[in-house]
Amino acid sequence: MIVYVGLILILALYGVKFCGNGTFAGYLSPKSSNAIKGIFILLIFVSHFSYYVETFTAPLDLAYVQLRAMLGQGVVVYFLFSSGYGVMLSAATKGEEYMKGFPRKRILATLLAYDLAQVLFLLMELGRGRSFSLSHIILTFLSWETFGDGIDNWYIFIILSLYLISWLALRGRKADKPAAAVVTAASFAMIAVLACVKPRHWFNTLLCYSLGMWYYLYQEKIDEYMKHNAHYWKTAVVLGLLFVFFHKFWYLRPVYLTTMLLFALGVVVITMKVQVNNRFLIYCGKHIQGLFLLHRIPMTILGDLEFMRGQPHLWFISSVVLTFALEYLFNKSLAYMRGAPLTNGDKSRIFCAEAAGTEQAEEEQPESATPQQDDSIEMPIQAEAETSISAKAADVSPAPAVEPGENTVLTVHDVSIRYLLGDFKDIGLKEYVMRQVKGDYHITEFWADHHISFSLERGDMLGIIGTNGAGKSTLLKAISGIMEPTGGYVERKGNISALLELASGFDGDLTVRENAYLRGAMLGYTRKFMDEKYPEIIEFAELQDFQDRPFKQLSSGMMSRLAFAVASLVHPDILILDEVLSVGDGAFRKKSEDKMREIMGGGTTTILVSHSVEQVREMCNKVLWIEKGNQIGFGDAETLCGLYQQFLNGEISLHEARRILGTEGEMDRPEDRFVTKTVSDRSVWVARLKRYAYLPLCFLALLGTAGAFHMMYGLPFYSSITVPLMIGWSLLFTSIAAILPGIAKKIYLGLLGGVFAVLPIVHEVYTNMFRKFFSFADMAFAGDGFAFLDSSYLVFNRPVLLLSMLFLAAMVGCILLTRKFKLSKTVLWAGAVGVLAGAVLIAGVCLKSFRGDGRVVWDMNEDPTTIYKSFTDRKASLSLLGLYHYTFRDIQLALFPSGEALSSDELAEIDAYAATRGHEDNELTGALAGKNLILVQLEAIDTWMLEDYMPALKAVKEQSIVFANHYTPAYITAGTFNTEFMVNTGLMPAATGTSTGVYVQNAYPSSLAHLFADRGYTANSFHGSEANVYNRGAVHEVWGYKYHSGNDMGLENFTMDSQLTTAYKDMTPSSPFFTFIITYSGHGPYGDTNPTYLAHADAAWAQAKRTDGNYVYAVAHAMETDQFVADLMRRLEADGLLENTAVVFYADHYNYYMMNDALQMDIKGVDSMNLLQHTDFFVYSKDLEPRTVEKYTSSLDVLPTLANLFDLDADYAHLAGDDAFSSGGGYVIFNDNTWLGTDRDVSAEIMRRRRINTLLLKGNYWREKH
Amino acid sequence: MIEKLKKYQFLFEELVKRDFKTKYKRTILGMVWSVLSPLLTLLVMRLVFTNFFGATIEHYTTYLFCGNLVFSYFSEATNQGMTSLISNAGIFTKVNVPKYLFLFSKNVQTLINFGLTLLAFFVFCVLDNITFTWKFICLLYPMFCLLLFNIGVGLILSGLYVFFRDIEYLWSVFTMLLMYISAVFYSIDTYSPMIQNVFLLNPIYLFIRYFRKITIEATIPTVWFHLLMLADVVVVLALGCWMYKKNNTKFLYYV
Repeated sequence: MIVYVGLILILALYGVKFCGNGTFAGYLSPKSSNAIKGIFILLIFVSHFSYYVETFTAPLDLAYVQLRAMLGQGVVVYFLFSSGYGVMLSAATKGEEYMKGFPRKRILATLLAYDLAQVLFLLMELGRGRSFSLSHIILTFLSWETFGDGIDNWYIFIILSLYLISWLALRGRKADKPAAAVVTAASFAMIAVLACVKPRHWFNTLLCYSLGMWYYLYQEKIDEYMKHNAHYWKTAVVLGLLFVFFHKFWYLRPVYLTTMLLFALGVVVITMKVQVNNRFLIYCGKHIQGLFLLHRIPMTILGDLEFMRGQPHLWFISSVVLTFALEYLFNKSLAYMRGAPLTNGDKSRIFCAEAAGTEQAEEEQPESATPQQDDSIEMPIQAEAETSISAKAADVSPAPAVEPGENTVLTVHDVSIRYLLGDFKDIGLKEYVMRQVKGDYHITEFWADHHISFSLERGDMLGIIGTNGAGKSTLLKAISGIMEPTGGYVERKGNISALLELASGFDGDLTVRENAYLRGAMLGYTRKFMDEKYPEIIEFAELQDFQDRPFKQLSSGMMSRLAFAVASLVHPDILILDEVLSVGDGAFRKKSEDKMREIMGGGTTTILVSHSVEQVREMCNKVLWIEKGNQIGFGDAETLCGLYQQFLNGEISLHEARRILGTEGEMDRPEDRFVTKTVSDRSVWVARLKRYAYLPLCFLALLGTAGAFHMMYGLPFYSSITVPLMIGWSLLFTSIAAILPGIAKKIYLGLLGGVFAVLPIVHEVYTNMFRKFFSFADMAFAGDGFAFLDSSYLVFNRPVLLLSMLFLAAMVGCILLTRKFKLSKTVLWAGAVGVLAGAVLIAGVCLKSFRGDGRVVWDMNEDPTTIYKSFTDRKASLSLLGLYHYTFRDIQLALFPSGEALSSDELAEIDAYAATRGHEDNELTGALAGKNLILVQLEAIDTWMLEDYMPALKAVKEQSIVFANHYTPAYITAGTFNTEFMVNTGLMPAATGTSTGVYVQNAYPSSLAHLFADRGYTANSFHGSEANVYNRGAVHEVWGYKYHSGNDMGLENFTMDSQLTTAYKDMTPSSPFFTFIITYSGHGPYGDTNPTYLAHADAAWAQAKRTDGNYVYAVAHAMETDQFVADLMRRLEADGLLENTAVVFYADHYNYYMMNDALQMDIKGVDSMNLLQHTDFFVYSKDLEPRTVEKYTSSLDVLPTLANLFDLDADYAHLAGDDAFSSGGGYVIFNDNTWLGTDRDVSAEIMRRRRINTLLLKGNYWREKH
Repeated sequence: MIEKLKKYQFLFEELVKRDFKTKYKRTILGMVWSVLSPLLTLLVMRLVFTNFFGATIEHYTTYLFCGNLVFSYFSEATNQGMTSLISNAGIFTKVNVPKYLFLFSKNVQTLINFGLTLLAFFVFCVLDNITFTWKFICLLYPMFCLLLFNIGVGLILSGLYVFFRDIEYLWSVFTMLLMYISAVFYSIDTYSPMIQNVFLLNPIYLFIRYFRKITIEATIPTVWFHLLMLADVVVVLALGCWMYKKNNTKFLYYV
């Protein structure tokens, strides 16, 4: 295999091109990425192929296996990365149009291609003799499953899901960070969910898709950075090291995730410099979709040929060739199906969106950077709103143009600076909050500078003049970059050195020397420079004697001197001096002026603020005059200084000065500097409240409903599991609502309301009917349930209806409260964080709390892991998980049962278990061998009914072997079917976690009917209901019966047992026979018009010992069944069949149709639900000595016991029950794993039996075995 | 970034120097105080709490010291960090320098203090019969995280402090409360598992716990524990950076 990998690499080398310094190879362009994808698809091909060739002998092949293990799923991460990148790119460059076509062109087209490929797989697999269930087929076409050997569909599934999420996130908005954040959050959520549902798959790679999106958003910055060769190599090495480091620990899930991200980045980094220009690889990359979907077909088909198996190389090469040929045809037919011939470019688009995106971008925009243009169009709107104006925005704001010349070092363009007065800085936090709440919060804007524009050239010396408070210092701050202008921009070339308000910024406690160094550091000098220049500074400042004195002891003049000395040391490109030259004594002033001139001579541009007109006139060549924030004039020093002097002397007014200068039109009134604005008023708050009120409402409604539901049923809360799960789901549901756009939000909220308003009602009805919470696993019996659904069952013992109505009302309220508006960035961010937090919370609880081994101890039902994993005890599960996670887990298990082939470990486990069990002959073995058997399952006949009101049955019982401690635990809701299954197969029915399909799909060679058939008996079953109820017809057929329904028997009213003997002839065919009869009359619902009741009403009322509840009805129904028994026994006697026929009776469950367990317990004199499930089981045969067996038995023990009596070849070792006459067993296992019958602690045994039982069912043990 | 660091390296050094000098100016013991004050706190706590908790907690002195060490570092670094912007307002309103440098310099100073206390801590460990293992190297991780965490909190606080001076009082109350809920002098073993989990939400408790795990129990915490710490740090640091970035140009108006 490694030879082929080598070949691919060599192939890749052909056409490889390296790029030099600072250039990129157009990486991520379709051509380049197609080539890379080509390499990966070939690698996948080799990798998958190697799974078919099982033996690895050559050392090179072993090396390959190691290589493959190292790369893991790395081969697909680049696909995901480039898909994410491409979607983002296309969304950014093509906008609305692209997103509109997205569902059709991307999602559906991908699904279509997948489905088409799967049709081929289906044909192929059917041809190979495999069969698929309907759900498998449906799920396959949704990409959840596949028909093929591998699990390649997982990739398609996640890419489809990601497309869907991207579409939702990007629809109708810009391709920006919040959108990417939503996709990322959703990816995390998906990983969490999928990791629970399909743990074997590699969903943790799907983050690479989001990575691609983020990469697009930051590409410019990255490119800029990577242009430096040193940066590039540094990054490459760091990535490589990180990859190697993380690789060591990648059995940890988060680390594995990181490794995949690193790998994707690594590939990108490599492709920056290495370009593969190989036409074959590019072809592969373009046709990746077809190749990926189809490559297993030739492999599998050729693998079926014997001679190919011996020739792996021939097999491989012909597979490759066939795959390419198949892909060609596949593409053609896809194109045909879409009704238009496609170009090559189109083909690749469907699978990997990035190709389309980049191509399009290249066609339409030869030069990149279109997104920026989009941005700049939106900017003016912001500028008008006067919120915050970034420097770039000024391009479009109306302002006198300043033409920057070549020598220009400083451009101040229309700079305005605003201070806010009256915000919380001035009024205090308390007042601020108060005013915000009261809605009369207003601020005053003070424009310190208003529309100032000028530019300076090299060597210019600008003097800024103006009276106090004109805005001079503020302007300097903007020029030096300390302040960002509110409007306009400042452009500087070269470094800038600013001396503002000299004395400040020194630390009084430090010495002069230390302060000099500190100041030097602030001005950006190096230590070396300071060391060199320090003597010069001190000398210039004339502070030699004060060097080590604390600074605060200096006079202000001295301080200024030091400041000036430090600042004027270097020759910056721009020097800013604020009132500097007016300090110090005359001598120093002279000295500093000289220094200034010297600096200016060196080409430095200087800005000087001074109140000394003389000084300005003397030193400056240009002057800027500002008054009250407005620019009065800029230009020649002489003119302006003259005018300014006149203005100061009161000779001319400002107005006149402006007229002279020609800036008249711009005269602003002084009061214009102050603008008072109301920042918030009540209506803004009310609107905001209205807009988002639905979110807390939704959250609280969800949380409240789950909590109230919990409390209504008195379920205990597990503080570290139930509560966080409830909060997590409520948060998740609410956050999803927050980020959904428009109508989707309403639909979603409606669905949420509908589902969780109905579910509590369903639970309530269900608990009242079956003493169990609802589970989707019961849907298999829905037909039966609905057939008997009667208004009498709609009992509401708890105020669940009220709860549901309240919840529904809250959700409707949410829908009404949602307002139509564009999703803001903040909401998207918050929503993304919410989704993420909810998912993390849920996943965290699951990972933390349910990862134990499922301890086997007596109180194991207290153990969260056992409850969660087995999920058989619904009450405990609901209590543990809360309404939402219970529903989630339930759906997960019902829709995706873990029906998989048994692993060798599991088979070994079963064998080990079977080895510990067996069956030894005892005194009753074969006691009934060769006799006929009529087995009667009595519907809802409770012990007391038999005792007091069924004389015929009681008479039989008195001459029978009676199992006095017999119980019928119910594992699934359908009590009758539950018992029927246990008696016929000797196994516990699949409660959940295993598909209910096991009832018809599995093989039961050890079922009663099969065992009798093996002895040459004819097996028939009889029951009033139609064959489709409980799917009985099919199930009985699997068990080995010929099923006779009421219609088949020709009954007038199949609910009346007395008519059953109509089919007496069929029930007693020629010997030997085995007949299984299920009575019906005991069945509820009870009522005054029920014909069964009417037939016995008088007798029942006459005999009944009590009249409360449904007692009399139950008596009447029992009498009907007894009539059948009497008739049956009489006819058997008359035919002489009783001589060689055994009759066995047992009840299918206690009489829960009474709908009143308390009453039932009172009648039976018991005090627990377990004891209530005590029922009858007895074996009658004329020649058997009547006796009473005290040993505890359950429905599971019926099959082994009968098998022993009739000496049948039962598979005792694998059955869940024991022969009542043998030494084993002797206890009853209930649904919640409690037991009855022995003082010994048998919990470990019970857990083991349950586990083996589940394995047998889910793995279809007997079919696989034979 | 690196270039920027180089550019401001000198300034940074000078700022650290200045902070040091101004802090210990005119104190007789100078830097000894930075070791002495946690030691005194330790002494008081040891005297007061030994009767309550000392009996049930092994190596109670070390146990206390772990808590004190981490907590006093956190408290000092954040309190100093909080005022770093305001007290340097005179500089950054006049010179264009990165404002976070002031915070960093304060943090360096407190880090050095922490280092000194750490030495004292090791001495006490010896006195308390703690065996030193190679696992002590792992202590670098919580220290590094704590440093970043302090910087993150400092970024947030110093920014807020510019806008709301009340933060100073709020924070002092908060740190006091934080000390009580950080299990500095008591053990949380007696609480229910639920409550114990709640403690994990407190980042300071995580740091303290890490120290105790290494020194007293000589075990390295789980990977998840590491990640949880890292997550706290990343969140706080990201929040701080975001605040600074957003308000960088606004600070000027409020000092």
